[in-house]
Parts: sequence; structure tokens; C-alpha cells
Amino acid sequence: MAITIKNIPVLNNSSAKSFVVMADNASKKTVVVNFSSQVKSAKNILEKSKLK
Amino acid sequence: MDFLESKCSFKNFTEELIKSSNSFECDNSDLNDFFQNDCLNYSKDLLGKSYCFTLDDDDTNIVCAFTISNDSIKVNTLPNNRKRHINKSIPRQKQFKSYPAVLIGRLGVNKNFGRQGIGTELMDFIKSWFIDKDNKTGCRFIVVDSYNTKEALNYYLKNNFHFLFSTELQEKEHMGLTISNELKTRLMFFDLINLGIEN
Ligand SMILES: CC(C)(COP(=O)(O)OP(=O)(O)OC[C@H]1O[C@@H](n2cnc3c(N)ncnc32)[C@H](O)[C@@H]1OP(=O)(O)O)[C@@H](O)C(=O)NCCC(=O)NCCS
Repeated sequence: MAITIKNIPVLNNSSAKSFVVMADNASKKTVVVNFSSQVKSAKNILEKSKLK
Repeated sequence: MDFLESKCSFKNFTEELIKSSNSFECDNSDLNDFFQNDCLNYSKDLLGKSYCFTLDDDDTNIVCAFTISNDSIKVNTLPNNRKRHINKSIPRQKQFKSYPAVLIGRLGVNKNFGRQGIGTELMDFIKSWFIDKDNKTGCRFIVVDSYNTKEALNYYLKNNFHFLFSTELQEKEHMGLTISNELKTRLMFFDLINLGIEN
């Protein structure tokens, strides 16, 4: 049998703190990567597949 | 996403599809084993759903596949006992947080299609799927428990994933492994908030 899919563990202590700081900073950031063309392609792929 | 968009079709990875396709071979025996023997059980038990892209010119040819499930990154910033009394004033919701995430349980590219940018196209597709405005639920992060191999780690780093634990040692400690134990997988994440859609 293949390796079991592991759930994401709870982060504690320093790994928890640095993760929250990273997530808060990213939420405040305004410069983002423009992913419009990738999203458009993904829509076309889903449209063709009829899976939504 | 040119190759996946123009030359392939996106499908559910079902029993019928497995029966009617050539076996899906990646350069990893665990992954091959998973897609041949385990993935349908994960689907049946609603623990992970698998999808694939097949080639339009020959739909018995599976180009790439992945398995995903709902999960979350839970953080507990509650200090240890020694400090706890000082921090009584911090509201509970600030000490426990949970960020919705999609977990990639498995992902692989057919070895005949390797190193042609298809893995990167596939990751762009997954990212796009979860930031699409039609997505039914909020999802902030993509998480993967990557094989701890050079090719897999390079692939996720190239696709702007970061390690959830900054060192192998930290990750081993967290998983209850000793230093001499082998760490077979590494948890990595991608923050979807970094991607924007212009109207
Ligand atoms: C890892 C994997 C998904 C990459 O797919 P791919 O289609 O070859 O990926 P791409 O062509 O988009 O390559 C993207 C980057 O991945 C890394 N990479 C891919 N194959 C590599 C290899 N054999 N050795 C080192 N780095 C590799 C490189 O950084 C590459 O960028 P570059 O070509 O500019 O150097 C594929 O090799 C695979 O399925 N491997 C077996 C299963 C696995 O490890 N899955 C991931 C863990 S769940």
C-alpha cells in the first residue's frame, strides 16, 4: 500500500507564530501576481470537461 | 497552460477510466501504487478525490493526475505553561486560528511527459481552480506533503511553495521522529492570496 495521505498537523510554538506573521503580512500586501490568464485557461479546461 | 488546455481533457479519475487507460507511470513507485490501487478507496470513503488529464489524440494516455481533499492549517500560538498567566488577556480566537486549505495528497506527471512544463501547467490549473470566483468555499492555502526527493522539492519550490517547517529537524521533532529516522515527505504550502484576478 502506498504511503497514507497525512493530514496537516497543528502548528505550535515558533512555527505557529511565524506562520501567523506570514499570513497576516500577506493579507496586508496589495501587490499580487496577476493570474487572470491562468484563470481564463482553467475556465476553458473546465468548460470543455463539463466538470464544474 | 497551453498543452493542457489545447491537447488534453480534464476528467475524474474513475474505475472505468483506469480500466480503459494504459497504466499511469510516473517516476515514483509509491505514486504508481497509489493511482493503481489506493485512489479509488480514498474516493469511495470521501477522503480524497482524484482527477487527471488525458491526451485528446489518444485518451487511453493519462498525462498527469492529482488527488485533493479539504483540510486546514491550524495554528496554536498558546504559550507554554510558564508564560500562560501573563497572556490571559489574549482572546482565545487570537491564540487558535484555522486557515482553510486544499491538501494535494498526490500529484504526478506521466514519465513520458516529464520535464516539459506540464507539472507547472497542472499546478497553475489547481491554483486557478481555487481562486476562481465560482469556487464554492473559501480556500486560502494549497498544502502538499511532498516526497522528500530533489525532483519533487525542486518542483514545488519552482512553483513558489514554501516549507511549513523551516528545517527537517523541526519537522522530524513535530512528527515525533528521531534524528536518525528518515523523513520521507516534507510539508509545503502556497498562499493563494498572492494571486490576483483583474476584471
Ligand atoms: C515532480 C513532477 C510532478 C514534475 O513534473 P514535470 O512536468 O516534470 O515538471 P516541470 O517540467 O513543470 O518542471 C518544473 C520544475 O520541477 C523541477 N524538476 C522536475 N523534474 C526534475 C528532476 N528530474 N530533477 C530535478 N528537478 C526537477 C525543476 O525545478 C523544474 O524546473 P526547470 O525545468 O525549469 O528546471 C514529476 O517529475 C513527477 O510526477 N514526479 C514523480 C512524483 C512526484 O515526485 N510528485 C510530487 C510529489 S507528490
